[in-house]
Amino acid sequence: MKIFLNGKEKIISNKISSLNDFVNIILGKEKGKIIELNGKVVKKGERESIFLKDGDRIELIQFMGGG
Amino acid sequence: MMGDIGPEGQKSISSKKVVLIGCGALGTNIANLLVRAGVGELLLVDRDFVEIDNLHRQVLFSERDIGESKSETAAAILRSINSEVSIKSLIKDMMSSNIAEMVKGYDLIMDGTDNIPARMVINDYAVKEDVPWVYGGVLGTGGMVMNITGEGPCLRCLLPELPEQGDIPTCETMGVLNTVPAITAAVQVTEALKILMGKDHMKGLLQFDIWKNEFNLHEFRKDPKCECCGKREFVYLNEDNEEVVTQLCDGSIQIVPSGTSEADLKLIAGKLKGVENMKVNPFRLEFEVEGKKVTIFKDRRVIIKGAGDKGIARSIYSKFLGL
Repeated sequence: MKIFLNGKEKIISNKISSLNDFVNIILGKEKGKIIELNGKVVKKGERESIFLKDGDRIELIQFMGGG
Repeated sequence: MMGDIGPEGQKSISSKKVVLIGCGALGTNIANLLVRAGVGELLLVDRDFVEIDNLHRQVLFSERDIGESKSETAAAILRSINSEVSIKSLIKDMMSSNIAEMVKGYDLIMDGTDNIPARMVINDYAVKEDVPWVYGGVLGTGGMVMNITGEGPCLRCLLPELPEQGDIPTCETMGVLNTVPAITAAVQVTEALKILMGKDHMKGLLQFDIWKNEFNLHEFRKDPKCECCGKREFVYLNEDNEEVVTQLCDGSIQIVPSGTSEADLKLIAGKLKGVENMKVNPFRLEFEVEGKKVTIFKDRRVIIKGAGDKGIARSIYSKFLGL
């Protein structure tokens, strides 16, 4: 399956179906970041029930709290 | 004068009142630019006092200001920069119980805070009362800016749940390059001027890393199910939910007791036992214990540096202050 991660094309295994799988398997250490799927921020609790499809666009955003 | 501003734009900017929450690295850069741009009034709010390790990035302070109030010191410098701007200052910690009295009557809120819970309080108040605000944040070599003006998403659309401790890096673990607050504040103030003039302004979240020369504008959507701007449930304004223990940007823990009474710092100092390097003045009491630096302010806030986590901070708090 082809998705876009931060604007770059990425081929992922079809075994990765849910957004939660994607976060745990592909992102690993980056799981603390905000995840935006096709322009909408996805809450942690919603990731299990969202299934990725060809052409999905995922953006990872590191929230910055310093000032 | 810039064509997009012109005499009418300048007149508009000069008639507006802005409140700045936080006078640290972002805040001092923001205040400097807003005052030089000639806003009508600027209120500076900060709970803290100048320390030597602030000086590399907090541009309005110098070595002679160490130990002085950030908001009052900044206000004095700003008055000498532009005497036509009405500049006010408050030595206070902005929170759900006092944000309304601080912000009421101002046209725009500028974010110079250094923690997420404070921004959530600003976001709830601003959305509820329909006051625009400009979020800014820094970390390492990166910064981000977002306008929250009612038209687009709010900060809780971006961050629907608070990150768990340790989930995101902090200024303590990553540091902050001193050029980052300067560019972040410059973007925030540019957006502020557009908003004050009623001009079209940035939609979305601008994220950049100036070491890698990367700039991205995330144009994400407003969430109709957002608890804040969608359902209009302002949980961070509920004083019962007020977070009293907060991890600050530098990793220190702040404890804010409920109520509004003032502390008798000399009385507390007289009762302390087994502490080192104690110093007391009318504004604060400092001491070191178990390798941690504890500062108690007149408004009863306590900041514990080096505690590591909230549990240890709470333990020191109750052990040595009996509160």
